[in-house]
Amino acid sequence: MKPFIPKGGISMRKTCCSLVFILVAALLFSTPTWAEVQIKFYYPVGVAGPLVAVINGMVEQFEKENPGIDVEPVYAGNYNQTMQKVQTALLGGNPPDLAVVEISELYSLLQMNAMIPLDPYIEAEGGKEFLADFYEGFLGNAYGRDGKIYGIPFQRSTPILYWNKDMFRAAADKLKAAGLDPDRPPETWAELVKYAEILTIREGNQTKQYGLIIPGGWNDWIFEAFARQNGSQLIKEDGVTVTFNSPENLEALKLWVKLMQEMKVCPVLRPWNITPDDFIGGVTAMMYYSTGGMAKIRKTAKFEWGAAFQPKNKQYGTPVGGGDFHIFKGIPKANQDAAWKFIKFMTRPDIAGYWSIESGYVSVNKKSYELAEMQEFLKQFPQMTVARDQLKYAYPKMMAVNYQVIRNAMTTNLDAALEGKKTPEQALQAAHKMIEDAIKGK
Amino acid sequence: MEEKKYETVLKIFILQFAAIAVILPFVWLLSTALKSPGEVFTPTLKLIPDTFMWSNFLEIMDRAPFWLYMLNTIIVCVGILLIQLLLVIPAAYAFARLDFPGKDVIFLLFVIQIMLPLESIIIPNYLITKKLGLLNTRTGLILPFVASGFGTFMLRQTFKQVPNALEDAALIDGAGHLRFIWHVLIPLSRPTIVTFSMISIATHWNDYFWPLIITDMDRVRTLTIGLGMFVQQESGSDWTLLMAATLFVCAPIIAFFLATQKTFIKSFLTSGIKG
Amino acid sequence: MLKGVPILPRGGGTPHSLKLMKESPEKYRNYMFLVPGMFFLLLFTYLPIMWSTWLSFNRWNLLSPQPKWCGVENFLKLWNHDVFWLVMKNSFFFVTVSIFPTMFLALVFAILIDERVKGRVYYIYSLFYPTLIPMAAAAMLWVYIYSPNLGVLNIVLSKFGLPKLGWLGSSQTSIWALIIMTFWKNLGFFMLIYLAGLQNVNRELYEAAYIDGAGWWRRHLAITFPLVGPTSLFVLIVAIILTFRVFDQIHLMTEGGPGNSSNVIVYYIYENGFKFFDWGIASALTTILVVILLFLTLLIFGLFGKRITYTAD
Repeated sequence: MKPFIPKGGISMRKTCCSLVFILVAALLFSTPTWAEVQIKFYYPVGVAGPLVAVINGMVEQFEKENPGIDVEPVYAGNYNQTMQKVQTALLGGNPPDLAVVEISELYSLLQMNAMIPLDPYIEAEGGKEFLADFYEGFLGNAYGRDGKIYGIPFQRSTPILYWNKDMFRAAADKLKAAGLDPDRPPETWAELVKYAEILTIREGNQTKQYGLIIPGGWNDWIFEAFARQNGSQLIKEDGVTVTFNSPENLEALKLWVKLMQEMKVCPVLRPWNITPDDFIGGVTAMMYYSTGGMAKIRKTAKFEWGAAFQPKNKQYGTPVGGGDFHIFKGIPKANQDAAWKFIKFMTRPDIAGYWSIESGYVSVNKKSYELAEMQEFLKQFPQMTVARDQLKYAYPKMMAVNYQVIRNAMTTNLDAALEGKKTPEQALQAAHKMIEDAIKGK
Repeated sequence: MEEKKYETVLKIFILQFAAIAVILPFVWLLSTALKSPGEVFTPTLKLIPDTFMWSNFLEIMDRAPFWLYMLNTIIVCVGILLIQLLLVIPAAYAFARLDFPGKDVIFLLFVIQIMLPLESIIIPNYLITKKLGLLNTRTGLILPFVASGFGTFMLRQTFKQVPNALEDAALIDGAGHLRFIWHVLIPLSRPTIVTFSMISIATHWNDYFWPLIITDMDRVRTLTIGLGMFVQQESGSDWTLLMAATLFVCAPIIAFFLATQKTFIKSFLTSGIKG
Repeated sequence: MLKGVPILPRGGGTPHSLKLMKESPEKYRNYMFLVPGMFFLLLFTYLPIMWSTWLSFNRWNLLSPQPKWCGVENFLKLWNHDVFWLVMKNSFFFVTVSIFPTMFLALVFAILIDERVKGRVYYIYSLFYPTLIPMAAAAMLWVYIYSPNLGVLNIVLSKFGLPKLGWLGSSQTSIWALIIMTFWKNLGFFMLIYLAGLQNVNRELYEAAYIDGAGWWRRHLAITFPLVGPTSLFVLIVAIILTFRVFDQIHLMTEGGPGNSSNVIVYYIYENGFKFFDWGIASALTTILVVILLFLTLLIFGLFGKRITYTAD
């Protein structure tokens, strides 16, 4: 064999050996943690901002206060992805102990028979009194059809209207000429159109500044708000009756199409995540966005900005949004108990308040707003109260089985209408039919 | 064969133009990764940052365990490659130089697999991996990729080209299959093996779909998934950090190929890759 | 460890006579070289295909959580679903529009680089490096480049007084945006494979053509293009695999939108399986994809099979 060995044979062997060594060394690298109870907690981040670090900090504090419990926070992506991960884990027979998912998914999870009712825990904490601390508007999405409660609100929001006060001031003369007040945002749909038109600045064939952005991605959510403002809704509370093609909804969609296609004062399908950038970067004078984006705007916007209720048509109205905690079946009782402890901790006035300040979400616990720290903060940033106060006009978000399919049907058809590929009538009819099919499982 | 002057100039111009056009996105990546957040909020084309924000890299480490992701990626890539070589070399040897009934059919199974990447049969593979209890494990990230039809095909072509005389010589020396493979075939097929290895590493450093589906936990997530998750959290919020993270994900593999450029290009050009 | 390993028969490179093999007790041992590879091949390629083929005739979704035989219902459902046809259209559009221009330009650049002596490594790497960047990272970079207000492309467009484009946010441009980015990523890889192929072309042929007075373009049209046929076949196969399995960039850049305008088959499978939890439909789609890929394999090997030695001799 002599002739062949020197020709690279040795270095080959060396490489192989070192590769094996690396592999073995690396596989040995793992740090098992030990605690009496370990729980896995899946959660999404649905708005722009470094919220993972905030959650990790809260988990650490919980562990400090509860030495016997080890919480493994699993950041699972955006809302869609988190639901996918949870569903996948359920299918894999390996349910998480605790998860936050988007509130409209409740019926899908119930369909999978995945969650435990939380009533016994709530009873033990004082029943109605315990629930009384939560904003009612947020509890609407927590109940199953059987009347039992399956979720506890956590990261909760509503869409609101953000407006750039500097831009309003810059256009003061024109606004006044049109009989509009430059020191306040629009309060009705009609005003919204007028403001948006005046605040749009064009130069040649380029739009220097948009009057308004209604972002894509979650336009189904904002569309539901418009439906509510017009006295209609998309799916009724029973989770079965679809009212997507109501005349009120058609009027709302026509308004959107007018803003985007006819008047071109609002860009078509701006990506959800980039929209706050556009607001901060001075691309638009107004935007519809979740309150959850407020922390970021607060920290980066270099101009005076305001937050306001969404303009009304027949009435003020908005769906709530965000995610609730759920505890799962098929895990040891001790884990369920630990998960409940964690939920209680996370919705405590001080913790929920901290979460609200860091993220911009509304604190789910009314008592948060009594804390001195919170009051001090709100004095500095009164915008933060808008979403809370808008809760007066808030309705539960629509819920139905197969919600992922439904949401897809809604966004696809809304997108098509807004891009002018379908008429508003066609889009609503198509969505209506797809949603009905999805609910029936066709 | 003389090139006319204008021809040379034109060709170099075209090449340079293409090269620069392809490099520009990367330059933009580098430049943004080193800017401060305030600098990217205005739509301007500035390449050199006002101040170089090296701290961006520290910041992304704070927000997500990127070093852990990198370790996982290295384990997975190396693991896949080692097992691939262990499986592919004997198989290629058998197809190239041995005979047995059903050889054609079995070889066809290997070749067809080239056309059926894991991504196309992700659903049943997910179910199988679940049945095997390999979700959320590094083993689960490795095993589905270890049988490489592509590698078997490439190495078989190369092994076939080794002259029979060498085999005869080895036989006279009393060598068996394994010794012959180890001492003759492998050294003689180095370019192909190196090429295959480097393609394998680059491919699996790239993997996204499979880890996306079977991992939930940071402790098994790879760089690409870590980046994807980081993006979901940060997207739109801070392009500087996003680009810093993006750079962190692709820098090691680019550095690796730059460091081994001579070996790589030489091996690639002389290996049996051209089909 | 070498004991017991039988001595190799003479002339292993050439086929043995069947007679010899039957006489030899080692014929079964030859299989041992294949067993480990075969095991994983069956476990992660062929078993899954059989499983998903069976599943595609079952109803299995959120509302019926156990697989239940339903005949061709899933296929009928897809047949009657607009989105399915849109997805198929997008997939084939993506494959054809991205493959051929990329292959052609890759060959042209390979020829140009092959003719250069100076700076070869520089040219090769500057075209090739995008292949090395993980698609997830490339996707992020391009999301930034395509971003409507801060993205380089729109900044450049507005510098020239052109209207800004929606890129990923518009159903007219989203798939083109993905194709451009995929082109950027694959060009260098194909170029490198062609460059490897060109090393086999006999240089004297060019000399002869040059003396005959053929220009650069004619020389390559007449000599190079036909001679790199086998390489082209290989590139074509690689390209088909790479483009049919496109997923990462879609998942990270458009999620198939807006309005499914950038939804392609693998992403559609993912959507149905992991988002809508309709495993029956997802399996039916898998079956369709496997059939398409097998058909393309047969087509390619049937048309050009003689040129490459794929059969075991």
